[in-house]
Amino acid sequence: MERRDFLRSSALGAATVAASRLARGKDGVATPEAPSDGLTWDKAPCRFCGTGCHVRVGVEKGKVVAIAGDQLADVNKGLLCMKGYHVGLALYGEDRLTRPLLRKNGKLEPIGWDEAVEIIAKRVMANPKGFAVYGSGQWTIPEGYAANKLIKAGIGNNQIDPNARLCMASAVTGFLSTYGVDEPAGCYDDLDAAQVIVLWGNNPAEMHPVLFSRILDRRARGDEITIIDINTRRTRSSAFAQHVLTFKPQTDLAIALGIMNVLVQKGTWDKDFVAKYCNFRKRTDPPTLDGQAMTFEEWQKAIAEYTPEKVEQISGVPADKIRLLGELFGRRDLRITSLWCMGMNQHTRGTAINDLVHGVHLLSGHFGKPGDAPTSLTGQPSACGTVREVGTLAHGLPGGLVVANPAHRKEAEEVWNLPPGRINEKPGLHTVAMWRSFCTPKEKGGEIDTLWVQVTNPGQSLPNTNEIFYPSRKIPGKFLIVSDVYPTETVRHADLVLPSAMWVEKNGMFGNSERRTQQWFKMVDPPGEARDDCWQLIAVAHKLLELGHPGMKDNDGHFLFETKDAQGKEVPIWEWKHYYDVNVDQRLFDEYRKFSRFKHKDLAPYAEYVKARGLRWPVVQQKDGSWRETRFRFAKFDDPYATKADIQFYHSVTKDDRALVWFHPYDPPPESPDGEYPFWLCTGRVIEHWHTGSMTMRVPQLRNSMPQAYVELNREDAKQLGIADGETVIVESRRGSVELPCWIDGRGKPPRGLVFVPFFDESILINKVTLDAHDPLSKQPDYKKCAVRLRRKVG
Amino acid sequence: MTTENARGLWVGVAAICAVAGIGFFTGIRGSAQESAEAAQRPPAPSTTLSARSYADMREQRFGPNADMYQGAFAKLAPPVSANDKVPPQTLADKMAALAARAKRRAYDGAPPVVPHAIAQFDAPACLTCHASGAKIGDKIAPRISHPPYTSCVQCHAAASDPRPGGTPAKVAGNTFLGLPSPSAGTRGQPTAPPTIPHSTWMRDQCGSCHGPTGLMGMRTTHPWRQQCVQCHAASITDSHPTKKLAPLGWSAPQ
Repeated sequence: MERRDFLRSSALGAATVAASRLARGKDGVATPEAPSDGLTWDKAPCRFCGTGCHVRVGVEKGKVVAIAGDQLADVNKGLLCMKGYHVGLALYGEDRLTRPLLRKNGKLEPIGWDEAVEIIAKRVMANPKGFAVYGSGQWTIPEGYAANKLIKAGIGNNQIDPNARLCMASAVTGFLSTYGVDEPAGCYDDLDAAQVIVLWGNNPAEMHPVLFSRILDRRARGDEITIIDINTRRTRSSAFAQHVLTFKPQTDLAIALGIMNVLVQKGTWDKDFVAKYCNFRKRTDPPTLDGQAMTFEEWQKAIAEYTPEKVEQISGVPADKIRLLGELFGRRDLRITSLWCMGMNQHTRGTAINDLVHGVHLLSGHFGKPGDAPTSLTGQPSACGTVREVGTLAHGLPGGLVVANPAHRKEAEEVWNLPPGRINEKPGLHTVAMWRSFCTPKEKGGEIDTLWVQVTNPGQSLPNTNEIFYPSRKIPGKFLIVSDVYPTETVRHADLVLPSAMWVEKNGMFGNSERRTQQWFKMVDPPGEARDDCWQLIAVAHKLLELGHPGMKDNDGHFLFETKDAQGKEVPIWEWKHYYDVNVDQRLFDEYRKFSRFKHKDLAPYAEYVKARGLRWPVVQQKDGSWRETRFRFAKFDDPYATKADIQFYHSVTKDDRALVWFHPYDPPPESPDGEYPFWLCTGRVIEHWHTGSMTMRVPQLRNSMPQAYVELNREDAKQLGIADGETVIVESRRGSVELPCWIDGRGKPPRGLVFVPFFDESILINKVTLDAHDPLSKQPDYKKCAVRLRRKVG
Repeated sequence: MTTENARGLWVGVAAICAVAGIGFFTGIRGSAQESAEAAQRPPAPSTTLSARSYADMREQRFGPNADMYQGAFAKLAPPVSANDKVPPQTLADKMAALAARAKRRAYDGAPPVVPHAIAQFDAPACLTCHASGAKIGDKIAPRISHPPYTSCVQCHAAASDPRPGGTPAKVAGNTFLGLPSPSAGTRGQPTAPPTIPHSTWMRDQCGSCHGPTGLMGMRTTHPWRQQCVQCHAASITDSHPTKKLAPLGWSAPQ
């Protein structure tokens, strides 16, 4: 190396070490390994989906310059997908938000951070009951924890709900009503052992590509794997499936009931498993999470009508395919893993279909052995970590506790050192209700008047936006605050915009679909005046303290987010220049960790996550002091809390260590095609783009590959409507319409009578068309089916 | 075979050739006339798709790779052999090769985008050409550098819009500056084989880029030697994942 080069790279190396020390806080004791050249690599989970791949981030001169798959990561074993390989580019869109903006005379104009923080605090002080936070499954764990504490311990109105309500709420209610506790028992290791993979309305080839290729790569190595794709349209995943079962929307319920029927008729259900580990339940009216007990005989009688022939009538899936599924589940020599995501969750009967698929696995004993698992996947990187585990839901508290339970409130008040009775027992409003309230004038009962959105884009992702998003923008006194990184549809309609740091511009922790908690350090500085979302919350909390809000102090009169340095001196973390004096993430995590013990979701100390590529909870300390993660929950051979029997559902609703097998009848959807609106509309994603595309549409390689949304239409339907491939089509429902090009036999192939539109494109807002009808228990809306009509745009 | 039979055979072959030749030239003339007529026709209304004429069909190949061949069979090069003489390569060749590669990659190590149309729905038939590599005219389909991983479109995005009739909105640009590819490995002494200057993680088919069909400037000078890593040592840390990753020794203050 030339001497000059050496000097240059040593200086850079020193600068990078300084920056990484900053991220760890001044109390980080060890100095990271000095890099030998200008390029340094560090680990982080990918910013996009819930798979939770780890990437290695290459940083040079204060910028991300390269990405690589992390070879040490169990999840992805060094492989990524096209989004993951380009995740570093998501930071560098030219239109990053770099200054706080306030709407003045209809125009967003730059203001200072002090003013922005004060505006929010003053609005809260003026009407604390009217303040709500709308958060995200992309919040880091410490961010979500801070927001949840601010609302539940501080402001006291429980008005906090996340976008994950739109994404996995039905999976949560499914787990709660079946096992009494949330989150999958299995993990990705099941994909290495299963011989049959059942995709329930799931297209992992595009949505969870790394997991899908984990299955396909096994096939390439010679393993025999049967993939059964149960869908409403053919997708890239169908191309790899041996059996493709296309059903009429909503009738997945009947298919699950049909499988159970075949198991019972043939006597191939797992009698031993059912006798030892299952109870039976039916729904009540109105439905509840606990339902009503029934005997096995009553349950058998209830499902007797769902014969394969009857199911064929309801679903359109041939009876012999239902028998095929029933026979596969009836075999004890196979290992079967079910995968699902939005198809089952974004469903007005989401809880019911989740229950039924768990029921199929329990009834057939395909549970608790490697390869035998009902596994729900998540769409967001921390839907599990930040929403489900931290409890950033209107009814939730951290660690699986709920506000309605007096014992839970007491536990939380103890951890937070709050006076008894501080936590409000009344749950806040769920997402759709929150936005409806925000869109309703105060005099008509719309209590929410200040809504703070962080790390999400509801203007594009809420359903039926013409009714539950846009109206608020015309009602005087409704104030929308948005923390984001790019000018999204939501930002364009905001009253106050706060520029945020993203991903490796800040410290963070995520929790993926398989209970894996992941950690990363800040690696580069955010642009301009952009700052961490967590700092924004703490700064507002401290301003509220200054203004005399009584909720911002604990029992001893200390600030809710009081943070001390290694010498025990309080650090003013609400001042940005001091925020990284300590590692705030670690402080918040240490406190949050205490909650993880209540429901056996034990988390390890922060330092363990620094070392690991994520650990799956419960993470329990061993006699030798090491920390051991759990792959298979409730199974004695692996879960340290299952001690009594081979399978022990130790949070059982019925308090007898048994899970519940439910009966839910098939019910028709709230809106079906008719003479006026003759087509089903299904919405979703494509491999290139993640959710509303605010990040991926700014990555040239991804945008070029899929630059615009389209409507996917069956060729015969197109012929009948006189629409040719590529022509502009108007898709219209009772709620709204969009214009977009039509694509026939493109990425997917819908059956006759169904059209598909991806929702990533902010120039084609398909959620003006969708429906906000939702599941009665999970309150999750149905983005997968509503009635529309189509016509060719003339001229 | 008797002489008489042989003569008969020659006559037959000549006849076939004559018929083929006449047919070929007639075909060309026909198509020229049709094209001229087509040019005079009024354009089809914009709301309908114009039907293709047979002449168009013959001229225009179909399928995702239609534009790759450019009908250039005349330029078809003989099969590439590992024993072929390697032409001299200059530094300028290498810089041009690196620049060409950079056009399809966001940074060194990023999966390249696919420069041609691909099937969107089915498992694309990428391996038909890329399994062992192909060269037709000046078009090269590089051999897959990572044969165990064949879910191609998981990582490789298409370089252009696959949809017909799209009118994408303009969006902001991106200021990302990717890590450039290294231009050479290091040598312990002037006659030593250079080290491999890039990551080889998940890739083991060096010939994909450095073989006889590789870009000029990057080709091996000794294609008959197949065991690359016998002489060329790795120099990049990610082949040794336990080294130089996140600082594992860091511990939280107690």
